[in-house]
Amino acid sequence: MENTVTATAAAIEVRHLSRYFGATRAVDDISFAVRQGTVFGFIGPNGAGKTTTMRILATLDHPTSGEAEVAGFSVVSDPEQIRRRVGYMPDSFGSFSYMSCREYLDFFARAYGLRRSARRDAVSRTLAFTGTEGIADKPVDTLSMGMRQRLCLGRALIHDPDVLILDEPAAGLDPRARIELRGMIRDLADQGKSILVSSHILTELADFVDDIGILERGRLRAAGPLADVRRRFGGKRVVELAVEGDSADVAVWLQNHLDTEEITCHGDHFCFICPDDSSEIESDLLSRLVAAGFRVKRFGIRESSLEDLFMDLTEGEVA
Amino acid sequence: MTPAAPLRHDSTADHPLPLRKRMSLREKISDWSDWLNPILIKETRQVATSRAFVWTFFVLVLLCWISAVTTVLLNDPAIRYQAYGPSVMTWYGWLMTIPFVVVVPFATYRSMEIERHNATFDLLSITTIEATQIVRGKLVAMLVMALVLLSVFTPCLAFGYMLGGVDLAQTLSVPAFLMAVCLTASSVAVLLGSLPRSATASTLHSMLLLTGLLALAIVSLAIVSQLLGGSSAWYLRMLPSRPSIAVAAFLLGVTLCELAIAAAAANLTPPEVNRSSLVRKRLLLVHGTVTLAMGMTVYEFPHDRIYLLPPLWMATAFWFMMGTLLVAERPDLTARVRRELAPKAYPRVLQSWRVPGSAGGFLFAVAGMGSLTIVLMLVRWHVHTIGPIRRFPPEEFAAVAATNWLLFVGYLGTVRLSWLRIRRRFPHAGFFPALAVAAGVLILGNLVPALLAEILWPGLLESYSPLLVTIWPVTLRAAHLTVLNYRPALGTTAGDIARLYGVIGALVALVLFLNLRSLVTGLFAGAAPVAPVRQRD
Ligand SMILES: Nc1ncnc2c1ncn2[C@@H]1O[C@H](COP(=O)(O)OP(=O)(O)OP(=O)(O)O)[C@@H](O)[C@H]1O
Ligand SMILES: [Mg+2]
Repeated sequence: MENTVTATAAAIEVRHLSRYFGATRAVDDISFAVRQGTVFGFIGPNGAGKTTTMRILATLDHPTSGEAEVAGFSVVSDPEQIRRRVGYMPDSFGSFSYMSCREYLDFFARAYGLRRSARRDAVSRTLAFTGTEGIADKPVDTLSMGMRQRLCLGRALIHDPDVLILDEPAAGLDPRARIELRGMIRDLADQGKSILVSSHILTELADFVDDIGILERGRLRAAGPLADVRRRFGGKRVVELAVEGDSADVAVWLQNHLDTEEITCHGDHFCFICPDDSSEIESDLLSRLVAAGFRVKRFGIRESSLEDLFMDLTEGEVA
Repeated sequence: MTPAAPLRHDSTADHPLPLRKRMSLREKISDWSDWLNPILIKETRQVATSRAFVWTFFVLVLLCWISAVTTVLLNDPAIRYQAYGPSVMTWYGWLMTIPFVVVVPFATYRSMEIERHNATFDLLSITTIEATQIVRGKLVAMLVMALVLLSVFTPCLAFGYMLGGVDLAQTLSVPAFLMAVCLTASSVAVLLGSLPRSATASTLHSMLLLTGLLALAIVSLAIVSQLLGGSSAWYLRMLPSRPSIAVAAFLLGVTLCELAIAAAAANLTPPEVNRSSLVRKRLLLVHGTVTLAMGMTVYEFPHDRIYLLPPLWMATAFWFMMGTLLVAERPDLTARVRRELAPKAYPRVLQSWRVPGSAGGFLFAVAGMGSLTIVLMLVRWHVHTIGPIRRFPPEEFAAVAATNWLLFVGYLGTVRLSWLRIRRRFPHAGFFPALAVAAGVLILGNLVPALLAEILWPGLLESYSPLLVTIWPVTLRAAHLTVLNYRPALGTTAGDIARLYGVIGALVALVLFLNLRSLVTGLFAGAAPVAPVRQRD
């Protein structure tokens, strides 16, 4: 069969995937891969196409063109195979009225074909893992946001899938719950599961993801290991400088002696992107400033932050 | 609350000799329930604990008690020796009508709609549950609820029976009839609930359904009264003496419910998947029962044309509607659908009616109506060989049925052509617009020429003219009158027959020719080897 041949080390592989809604290009020719046993952070502003991509990967939607494979199976031709192997946590809760949390999980266990003790074990294991044992008999439509998200994650985990697709799992959570959620996701990855997790906020994911992809208006701006992306796109270093005395002179000097485009100035405080990568130039710059007679009060170089990176890669247009 | 417990927990590792704990009753029941449809369990759980159901249950119990007690108190001396059965039973029958005919079907509809509203269909469709299981589960759960409600009435029915004046068959026929109506109405409700739509359309559908159910309740009330009141209605008198017809009607009801389930499941399935084949198989089942039922009717009532033609009209209307829905399927086949079909062209030709899409649908409807026509003609012929026939000989019936089929092909082909053109403009048009187009084609073909003839050439409608060939009833009457040159008094000649069939034949041939190109591409485009969708880099 074709599928066994194309099964690769990647848990999710997306190739030239597009999804159009009429004239809207919600997803526009994106390609990336989620390696087995790693967490991939999928970041983008509102309307970037994260949910659309994830729905296609969860076999809830069909691509307009291109292909994606999840757990070695094509979303186009083998969605049934994928459903057994993937857990999907959508951005909405999807509650059933008149049902307790235990019954809720029990129903999904049945829906995935778990029988007898396998089903009962799956339910109690999931309740334990997500820390929802205490509320097991509460009706699902009365839960707080944090408990809902836990139950949602539990539902995605109930059939012990190899691949997890989590659409903004941290939305609406308080800081403590966020940290706990992060811990759970990391644990799952350590157990060998491959996880695609989306967020609006890069810094929120930076602590625990292995790879990231930055999506904007349907196009992938950057993808790969976090360190790589940072090096490739965020490798800029920012020079911060403060001198005593007349700052206008410094501005003129900098403009004449550097080919950097943007120099921002707050009082006697200057900030500009280092024109070159080499650190020699920076130290050279300091000695040249001193030689020119400026009394340097402060001189520092910092790496651009993840926020800078995100702002650089996206243009701030919300679809 | 630390997420410490590992998810893959191997419980046997800690205990080399696991102690076999005795299973509790709860666990045993839970194991046993594994055999059931998960949706059925979920729905039953939800409905049984829902406030609406609990209220309905207790209100009904209360009403039953109150009416039993008041009946006895108000009629105390007389009730001991007079037969109060019919009036008491009629009251209970009416009391049962509202929950069975209105409440349960509407609850079925709501349970479909709520899943769509809460986006929980998405959650269900990524599990390994199939769409038919979802629909069937909901339907059976509602049936279970109906049975629970029925249990409320059982003592009342026994009470009514003991008051005398009704026999056992009558007593049992009331709940049986209401349950049958309940199931049929619920299947329609589930189909309506599965249609994708906007919020405004949803309100409209609810109102439409509620109105329909109330009308059905009124009809059911009338039938319940007749069932209990020593009925004089012909259809009730007929049933005991013609069990074969009762069986055929029952089978027809079951297959129609199955068709509704398949259609509802198709609505829940994305269009990229082959959702058509199951509907066609169910349609074939209905077709088989319809054919059986009609053959039976013709066989049971050979001497009366009254019983011969209405089933033919009903079947034609049914196939025309189904045919419209089938030709309204998307004309192109997605790669996924094509992969499922027979890869070679030759077997594909033999199974072409099964090929999803407009072209296969057209062939299916034409063949379905055609085979039905042939079966009817054969039955009619068979009846002729075993006994004398007063009116409406087989030749005449054959002429009418065949002409009917030709008109059917012509009209359905025209609907298909119009629809393909409209669909090019509005690629996402649904099934309701397709039905509207079919109605439009029927009106244009029948009413418009009839009105024109009436205004321009008064009297033309009476004496047949080929100009009026598209007017379905007029042409059928002409076929009936002319085919054997049967009524020379009306002035028909062999030339008239030739003219009639010449015109019909030419029109149908034209429609088929216009359909030909899209039919061929629709059926055989998929026969070309399908390249994997995967892009090669
Ligand atoms: N069913 C649909 N019909 C039409 N357009 C859609 C549909 N679903 C999504 N879109 C459009 O596709 C684009 C991407 O939407 P999507 O929900 O994937 O973004 P997102 O990255 O998940 O955004 P958010 O962070 O707000 O959840 C948006 O412009 C949206 O309007
Ligand atoms: Mg989203």
